[in-house]
Amino acid sequence: MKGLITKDLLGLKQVAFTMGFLMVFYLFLGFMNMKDSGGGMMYFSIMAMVINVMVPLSCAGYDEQCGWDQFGASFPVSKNQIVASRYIVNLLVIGFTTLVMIVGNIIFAAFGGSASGIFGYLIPIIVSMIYIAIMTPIIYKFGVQKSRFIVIAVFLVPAMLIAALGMFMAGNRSEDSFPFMDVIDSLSSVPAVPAAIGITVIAVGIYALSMMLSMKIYKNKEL
Amino acid sequence: MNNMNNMANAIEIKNLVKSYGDFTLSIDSLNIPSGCIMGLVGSNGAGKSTMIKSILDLIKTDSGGITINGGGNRNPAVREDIGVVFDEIKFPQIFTASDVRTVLKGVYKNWDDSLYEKYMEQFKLPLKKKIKEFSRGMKMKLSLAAALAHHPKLLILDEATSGIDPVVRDEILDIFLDFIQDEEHTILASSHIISDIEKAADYVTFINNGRIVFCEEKDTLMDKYRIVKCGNEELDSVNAADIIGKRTNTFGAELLMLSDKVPEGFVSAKAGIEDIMLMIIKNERSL
Repeated sequence: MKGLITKDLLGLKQVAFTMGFLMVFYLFLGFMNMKDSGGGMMYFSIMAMVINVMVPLSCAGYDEQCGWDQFGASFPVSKNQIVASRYIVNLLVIGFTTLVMIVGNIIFAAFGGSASGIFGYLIPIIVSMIYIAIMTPIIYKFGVQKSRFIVIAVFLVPAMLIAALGMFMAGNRSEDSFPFMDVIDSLSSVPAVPAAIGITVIAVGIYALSMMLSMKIYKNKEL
Repeated sequence: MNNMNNMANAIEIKNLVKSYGDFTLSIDSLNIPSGCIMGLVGSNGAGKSTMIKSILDLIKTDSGGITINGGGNRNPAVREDIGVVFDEIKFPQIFTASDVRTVLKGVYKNWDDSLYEKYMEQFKLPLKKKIKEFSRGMKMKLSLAAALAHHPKLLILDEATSGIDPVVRDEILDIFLDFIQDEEHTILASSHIISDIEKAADYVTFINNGRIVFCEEKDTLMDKYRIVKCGNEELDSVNAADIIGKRTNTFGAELLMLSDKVPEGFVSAKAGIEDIMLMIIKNERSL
């Protein structure tokens, strides 16, 4: 499995330029807005999420292009190990972007920017894990090309439904009230640490379930 | 196939069935003895790649069993001893030969750095150049070095020599012949280039429409069949049941026949694997 993880990490060379560009771009945006409340970190959080989500998709695309899946499956490793290694690499990428966020936060704080709380780090991690958890089994099932559209549909349809429902609810109340504001308000009253632990446990659970589902799909996949 | 049963087998296939809608690969029994080069020939879509994928457990077969060197083909310990070369290099194009080494070192317990470097020198392959800058011949040599550097006992090649110039192909065939010097080593090679099979293989398996037409020792096979050349009048005197394949022209015909069935007085020549293959396919299509 060590070789599979090494391969994926070396494969990041393919997206290194894009990753570097995104980091510089969002670092710049962060500096420009660091005096705002959560300004600098907000941009870094976006950067982390974009990279965390983009990397697995790009790597799967490159693998598909060169036929790596077929070759990798001829190795003395089980199909479960092949899938597990991909999930581990995704976590390593999330770890890396979190490290970048921490360094960025220290830099912003040193230049007088607003420091971020625990949720500033946790939200990008959780969102990325859940997105990857949904996306990866779809990629294993349908391949990268088809998955792009399916993933868009998976996220766009619920988002549009929520937006439509929100607009409907807003229409039935005052003009200015933001949809679901009550829900958001009620969440803000939950103590930070238990909330952080709770959503982390949920995200880890979803990630583990996703890995098991991917293993099942991959076991029956024709390579 | 039966004459191989008394030897240790590198690969044993029994009652293998794999269906894809209108195509079915069906192999009742196939034993590939250790210490030989088995050439797998057949036209496009005949089932060669499906058979290789089944052996490597890349596809889910409908039924049947496959053992490699006495163990199950899914067993990681068994797979340690397999080297695979596909028709294309399967590493990301941005990788260098050095990256390939780093990855495979973490995959195979028996990975041998010095052997890999020896192949790199022998094939004149740069360690730091990206694969995308390699020629096709260089890519295949790199695939071969990567497949051999963990001391496999079984080398599986799926159209590995296609699209390569004759000089490089000859170089690669020499590596195969060198590899096979160890009697525990076996090669299963599918190829469209029949001359390569004729040059290197000890046994030939011919697969057509998902079924094995024959699996024989190459020399026996070459002695078994003859190409008989005859005029139109002579053709009428040949027993039709003895004709395995026929190629007609304005002046007469070329017939594929078993050596012991060639009528006396007829001019005949040794049949090449390509002749045998083509005439059998043609005959099956005309039925």
